[in-house]
Amino acid sequence: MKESKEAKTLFQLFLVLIALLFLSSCSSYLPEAQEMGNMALLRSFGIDRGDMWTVSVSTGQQRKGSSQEDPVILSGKALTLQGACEEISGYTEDYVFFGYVDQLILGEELAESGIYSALNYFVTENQLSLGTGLWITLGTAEALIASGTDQGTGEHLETLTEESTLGISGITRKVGEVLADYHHQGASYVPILVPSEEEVLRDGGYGILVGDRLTSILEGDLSRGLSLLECHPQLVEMVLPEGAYAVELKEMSRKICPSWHESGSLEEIVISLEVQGSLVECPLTPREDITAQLEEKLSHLAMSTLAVLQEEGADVLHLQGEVSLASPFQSREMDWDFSQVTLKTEVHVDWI
Amino acid sequence: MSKNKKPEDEKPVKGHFHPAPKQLYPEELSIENIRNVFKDCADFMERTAFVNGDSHRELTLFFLNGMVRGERANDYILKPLSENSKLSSVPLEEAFTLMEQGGLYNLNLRRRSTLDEVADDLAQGWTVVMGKGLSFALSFFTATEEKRSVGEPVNEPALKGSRESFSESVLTNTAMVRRKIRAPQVKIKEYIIGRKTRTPVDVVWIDGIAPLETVALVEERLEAMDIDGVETTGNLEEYLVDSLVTPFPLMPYTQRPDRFCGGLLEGKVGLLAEGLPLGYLLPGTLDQFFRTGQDKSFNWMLSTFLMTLRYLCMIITLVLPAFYIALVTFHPEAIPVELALSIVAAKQEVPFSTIFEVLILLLAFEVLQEAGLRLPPSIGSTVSILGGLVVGNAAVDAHIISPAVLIAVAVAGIAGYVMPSQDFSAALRIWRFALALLASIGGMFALTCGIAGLIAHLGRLESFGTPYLAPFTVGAGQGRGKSDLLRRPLPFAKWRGGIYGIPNRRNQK
Repeated sequence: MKESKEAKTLFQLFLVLIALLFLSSCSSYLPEAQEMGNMALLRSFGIDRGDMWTVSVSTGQQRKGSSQEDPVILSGKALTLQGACEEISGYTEDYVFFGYVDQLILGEELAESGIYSALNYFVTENQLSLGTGLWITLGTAEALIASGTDQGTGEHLETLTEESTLGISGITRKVGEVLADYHHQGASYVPILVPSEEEVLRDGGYGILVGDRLTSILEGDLSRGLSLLECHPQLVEMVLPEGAYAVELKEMSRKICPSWHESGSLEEIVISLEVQGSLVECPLTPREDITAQLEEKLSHLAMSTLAVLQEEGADVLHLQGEVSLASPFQSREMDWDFSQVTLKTEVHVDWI
Repeated sequence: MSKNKKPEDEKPVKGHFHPAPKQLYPEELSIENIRNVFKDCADFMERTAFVNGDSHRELTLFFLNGMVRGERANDYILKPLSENSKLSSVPLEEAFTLMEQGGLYNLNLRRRSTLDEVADDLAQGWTVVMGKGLSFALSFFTATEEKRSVGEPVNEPALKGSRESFSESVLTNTAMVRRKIRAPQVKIKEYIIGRKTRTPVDVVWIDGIAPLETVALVEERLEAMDIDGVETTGNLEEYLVDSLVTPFPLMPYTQRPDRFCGGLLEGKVGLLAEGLPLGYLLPGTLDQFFRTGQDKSFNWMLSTFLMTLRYLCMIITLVLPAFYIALVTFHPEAIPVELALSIVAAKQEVPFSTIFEVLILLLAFEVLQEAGLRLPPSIGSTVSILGGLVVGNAAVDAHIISPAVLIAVAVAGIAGYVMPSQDFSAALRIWRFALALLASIGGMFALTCGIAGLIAHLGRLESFGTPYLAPFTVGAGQGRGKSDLLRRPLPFAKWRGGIYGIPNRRNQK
């Protein structure tokens, strides 16, 4: 039977190929098997840089059967980032697995000296992900991670990330986003963490990165201004004759309207913000004067932030790109200077 | 099919020919030779009778005791022989002609002139009447026809619809088909297969609907069969299929006459065999193994949902254990964090590797299933409960296996039971093992290679000239009606779908 002979030959060939895979030189092409039971699944990853690179990692709270175990916190120092990671692997009998790292915390000193190398490590190391959340901490990342010995820093950061998507806390950034900003517009922003004595992390605004270095920190109203310009939901407090009330800004949209001189050079950019808000814990119905007061306050917040950003020369809002997109297929001056351009804001509030 | 062909003039090669010659008894037909053929047969009987009491006209009746229904032989052969005066008034040879023309009361009689034919008839319960010095005999159908009554289709139970099942008698089965499709276009062609068992095998089709190429192919393969006997389904299937190098069934079958008739109306060619309480519908394509006889009875939306569920379950039963091995052992980063933490927590106290756990559990699952099948139903269910629940639970509690592995293997096993065809489910079980082994070697890379190999294997299969994956293919320029993957509302299903070469595609106004 011709067919069965063919099948026999194919089967023998298949067996030979399978056998070849077990040869030492061939088996290296196959992925390496690793049991999950022997893994330390890292969740938080901290990097500091002084004379040497310091890497601190935490597993977060772990379950063993039905009981909870304290997080495993490890720290290693070396001349290179890779070396520091290798050193960590030697501190535990478990296989250190970086595949679940979803929080990257950079120390203040590293942020001031440049974070590109640290972020680029997430590009080159195949276990690490560009979707990892990124924070800069005042002080050292090592201290921050070590402070979370009972519950782990990761739990808190996870909550911050989840709340951010709900609009309850500030904007969270990912490694990939910051790297993309760095490559596209040479500036970015990263949320700042402030460790407190009560071992509770505090939201410390946003750090502005020019190039890959931390140049300034937006706190308070400036931080709220950036959230507003990035259309991130937030709560704004207002003082009215009837008392102090809060306005919840729920839905926002941003529109860029550039004006051009006849010569083709940029005259000004009007940033138009459409805001939908609602009064919280307030018996009043929205009035025109409340609307006007809120619009003025929001405009002021946005302008203050834009002023700081212009002073730093940090186009973190990617206005350069948006202006180009607003005037496609036209001969315009595109290499305008962000720090010199006239910026205006228009805020329109609708009540829900 | 070349593998079954052995031209008559081909010289037999040692070890490659059937040892029994086709003509068993070349001797001439005579009473003495009939006796010789059935020498040492305790059930062989002969009875001498005189035509109308005339002792000069002696006839000998041969039959096999137990195979013949006594009343039939007495009332329709012996009685008219002894009472019909016309038979005694003519020469014996002419008397036989009168018997053939109605002198004896029997619907079914044949004139036989060879010893082989007579021996065959006797073996099938016929009564042979022979006269001294004659070179021919008359065979009368007097068989007992003792058989199981028409029962319920145990493997294909019906909530809405007929509760008839095929029986072991091919005559009863063809009659059931005739009762359901009363059109004269229903054609039934009988072949006798097996030199020893002489099993009647009937090819059934509807003229004008079934592709004649398929009918010819089935007939050609049946004619090429030269075996001792048909005792099991394998004796037919393995000689008729296009490829033996596959675990996948290529000849779908049903116990239900209504489903069988539905297949005939769709242009399939049916095959019924004596002794097998089922009917084959040819050619077999993949989609047939995902359908049940009840699909047309239920609401079309429910049937479509259930059919989609069966396809989903096929993927689950085939891939889940292998996928689990690949993810947990090679690509843990692809597992969601919370699930990974649970798996790590559960795995920490288990001494075995994930690969070992999965393979052992798969094996245990097969053992349990086999044990359950081989035992009486009452004990079988006890084995399942003991093995599945008690031992499984104890193994998890003792940290011998992790709960996640148990869940993965059990879900895969249960998903396999959703398949309406047990043959197809068994093929998936074999491939499930193969894919799990591949995943143990190279993770998702090897698993993907294995799935690609499976698709290539299925793509290579044919059933009676029709690609096994025909419902998934575009038809390569040949009209195939509409796709039958899902169940459409019947008023909109105006075309017979599926197989190639159906001469009349339209099935309704």
